[in-house]
Amino acid sequence: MSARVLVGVKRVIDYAVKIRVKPDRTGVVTDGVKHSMNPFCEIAVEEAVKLKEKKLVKEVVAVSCGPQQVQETIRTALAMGADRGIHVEVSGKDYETLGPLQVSKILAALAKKEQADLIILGKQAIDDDCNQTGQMTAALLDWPQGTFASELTFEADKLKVVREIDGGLETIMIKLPAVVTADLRLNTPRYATLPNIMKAKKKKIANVKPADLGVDVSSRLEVLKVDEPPQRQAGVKVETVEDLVGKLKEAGRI
Amino acid sequence: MTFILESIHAMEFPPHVLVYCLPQDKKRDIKMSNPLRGEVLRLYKNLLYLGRDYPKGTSYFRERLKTAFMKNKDITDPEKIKKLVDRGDLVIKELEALYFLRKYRAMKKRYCEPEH
Repeated sequence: MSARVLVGVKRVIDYAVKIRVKPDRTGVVTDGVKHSMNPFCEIAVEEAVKLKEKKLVKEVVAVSCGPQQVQETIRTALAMGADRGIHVEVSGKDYETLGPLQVSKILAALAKKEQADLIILGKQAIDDDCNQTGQMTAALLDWPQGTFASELTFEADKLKVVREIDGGLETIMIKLPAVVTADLRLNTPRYATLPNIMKAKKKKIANVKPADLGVDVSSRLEVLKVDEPPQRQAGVKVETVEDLVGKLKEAGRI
Repeated sequence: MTFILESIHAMEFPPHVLVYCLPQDKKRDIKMSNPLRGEVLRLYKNLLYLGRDYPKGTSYFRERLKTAFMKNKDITDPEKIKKLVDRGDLVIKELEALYFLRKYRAMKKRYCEPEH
């Protein structure tokens, strides 16, 4: 198979970090905070690499949008087995307002430019939880989409996708080229160990600007404020069932 | 150049971590060293790299890794060294599994409906 896979990866605050809101409530503290690849993006990269190992695709290209630091994330993807990387440079104010619409426009332009046959993305990012980029990319390209994929198989010239939906699993057949978004149970991503990181240093990362792709990254959304969720109130202990009923009535619950 | 094996109970999840000592004698002629020196150094570097993601913190991990090494100094038998290097590789796999499980469980808790 001569297919080329484009995998989008996002650099996000590490899942284990305790998030703090900035004092001016315009966003979240990111300076000096540990960042890593979005866990669902890791699953996407792993799936693409697995397809390459099974010789179902020829080349895996990892893409990320953002400032200089996202190159680390691309390097992790390369260490996991991607062949080359593309860094779409977006920084400063543009990066702060970069959202799924802009990223999907970029990915659509890149898919055409690189002649990709398959785009695999994580289903959502753990920082914004949008769950939109995959769907928007498919719409912009007018490609079929297999979202929330928990299983991916090639069947002749089609893709069989088992999707995780409310109430169970759905199996669909879609034609290539297509967009797939990875859900948690799609696979077990490999760890990018030091030897692999070293080997990945030889792989190329190309630099591109959104303007080169003809994409306008200005946002139509404005963040008004960011607040922490309300603090959990301490619970109250009661002695008897009557007390419990009384308290519930007080709180207007019954 | 010599190595000693010692097990440390420093890791929270894998109860047994067998690590290796780095040779202390840097002044000795490197060419005369045990060819397994490279293996041991590779292992140490890989473990150190993995330690950056350790749940209890990088410095916690690094301290214990170094202590285990410092305590161990005198195995010369290449057979034993090879066995220890293999066990060290196993520890690397255990750490990778630990990291994966933590992440998987966190993601499952946050994003998946509880199954009833």
